Amino acid sequence: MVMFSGAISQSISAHGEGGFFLRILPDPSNEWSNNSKLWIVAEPGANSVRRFTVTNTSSRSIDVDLKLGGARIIDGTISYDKDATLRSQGYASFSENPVNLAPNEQKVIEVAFSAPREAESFAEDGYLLASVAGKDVTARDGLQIVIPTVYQYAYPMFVGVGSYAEFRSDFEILDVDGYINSSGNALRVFLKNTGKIPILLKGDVSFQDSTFGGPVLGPFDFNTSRISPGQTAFVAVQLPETITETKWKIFTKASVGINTKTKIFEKNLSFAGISLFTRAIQLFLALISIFGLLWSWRQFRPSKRGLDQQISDEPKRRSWSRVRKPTPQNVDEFDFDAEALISKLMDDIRTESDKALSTGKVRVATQRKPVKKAVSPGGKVVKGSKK
Amino acid sequence: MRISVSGRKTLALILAPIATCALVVSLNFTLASADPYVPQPSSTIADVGTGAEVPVPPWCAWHSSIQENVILAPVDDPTGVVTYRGDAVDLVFNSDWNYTYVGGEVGLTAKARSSKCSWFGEPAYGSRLDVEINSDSFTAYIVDSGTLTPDTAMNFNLTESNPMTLSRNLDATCTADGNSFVATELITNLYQASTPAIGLTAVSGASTLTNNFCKWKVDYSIQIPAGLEPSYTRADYAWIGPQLIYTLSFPVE
Repeated sequence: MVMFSGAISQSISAHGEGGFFLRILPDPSNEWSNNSKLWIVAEPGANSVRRFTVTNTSSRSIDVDLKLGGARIIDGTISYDKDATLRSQGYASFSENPVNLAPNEQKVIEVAFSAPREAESFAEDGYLLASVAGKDVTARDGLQIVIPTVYQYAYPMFVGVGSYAEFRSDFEILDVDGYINSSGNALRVFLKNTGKIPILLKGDVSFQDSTFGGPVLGPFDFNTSRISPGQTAFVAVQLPETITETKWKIFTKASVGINTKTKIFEKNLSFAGISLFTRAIQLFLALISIFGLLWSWRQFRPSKRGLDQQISDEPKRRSWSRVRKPTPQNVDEFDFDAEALISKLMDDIRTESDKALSTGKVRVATQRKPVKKAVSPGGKVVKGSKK
Repeated sequence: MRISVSGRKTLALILAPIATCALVVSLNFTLASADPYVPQPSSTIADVGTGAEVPVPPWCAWHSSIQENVILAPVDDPTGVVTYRGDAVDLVFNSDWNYTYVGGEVGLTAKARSSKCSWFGEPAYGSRLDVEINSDSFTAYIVDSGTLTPDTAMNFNLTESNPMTLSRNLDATCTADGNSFVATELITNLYQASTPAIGLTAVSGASTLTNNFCKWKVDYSIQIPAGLEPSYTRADYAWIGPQLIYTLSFPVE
């Protein structure tokens, strides 16, 4: 079994297991290289170099092969693409390749970019590939089939081909505002990378009461992760409780390499994230709105009392209609004959039922309800009776 | 003063849209959290202490172990010697546990405590481990006292109908909180170099802590096809297949 490990920054590793380790060395000579990222600006006609260490953490000698690979960007994420090639690949060379390492040995390797004078300027993301093949395959007796393994790193890198001036890191401090995050009051410092090379910014903010002056509170430091060219990002600076909601002069400083920018904001700072007062106001407003909506809805919906009233009114109307409706001209002659017949039959059944009830032999028939009959105001049976 | 029914309805008509707007606005203020900007790591207020020994842990880094060379054995007789008689031979390789983790040291086989390494304020970065093959050919050799002599008559290639099958099993804890490995069942056929790399493990930068840990196994199986005719009989043969390339890469998110 082999181990391979990757660290972007300094690493302390126990040299026991097999494998290798790779680390990029910061280079303070340029603002873009004074970090542990593999960012290179290759000026046409010049030789641009970055250095990194390769450490053999195994107990056997290994050869580390180095090459450059391409990248793809999907939804803003840059990842290694085995089928892509780096446009600047032809300009690159390594101080040693493959890198032969004795057990537990470490070497510093240089990758140099020498773009020709006439090279057009461009920038690209890519990967440095460092690979080690498995052990030599030695055949044993009998049939055997071996698939040799290669294990490699794909280490992100950025290459800019052009003049140093063209790729000078540049950025803007856009704005600051207060908010509340899970750790308490914080200040967001909005920054934009206006250059052509990724940047890592370091900086700080200090506060002074805008109205009364007084002591300067801070500085409160911040560091950003990678901000790509053209990208706007914010960094959150946690603030102590002494920075309250009032008008402040906010001194902001950010730098990449030797390029430092400052900006003073005079702001009525509020921490609007999840303040209790703001929450209460929002809740109150929401409740009032819901109440208003409900009330409005009720105006267009028949009330329950109205419905009850309507229901209770219905029988009255029916009884009234019963009195008024059955006028002789509205009744069909044939219907009267049929209903008279039915009524007669029902009367016969009822008579029979009464007889049965009196003898106590049949009980079921006595439970049947008689057919309803409408009665005229004069007590005359309308249904089942002839005019 | 009592308002008439029509008056109340008019008032309701006016009030309803206003109340709707007010409700939307209040909920928006409460719930809106999407930010057009890329959030950066927050800096903390440093505690000031007096003289004391302060242990400094090592930098965190991604580590991964893999099997060194895959030596396949017959399915029927894993420890025995197989004689090729012109029939197809099924071969398999079952790996031991492999480990992919964030830590401050190499060779870990168990999850470390979170305090064992640090990113020292820098944003943690994610990783992914992929595997691919660089060709489809298995080259046959006659093995004679450690010397390998090629015999092209016994070469064979991976094809869609005779691929190398790879299946990877993550330990159940890989997907647990704090480990955050992307878990999908993985059984795939490799038979050409142009096949996209197969993702064995992946953890995003946002899910990377100081001790993400996962152990996993991978099995390979292939078949020596029937009908090969050796140039020499009574010889020991060996096949050396395409390179299996494992790549531990660090996406920039």
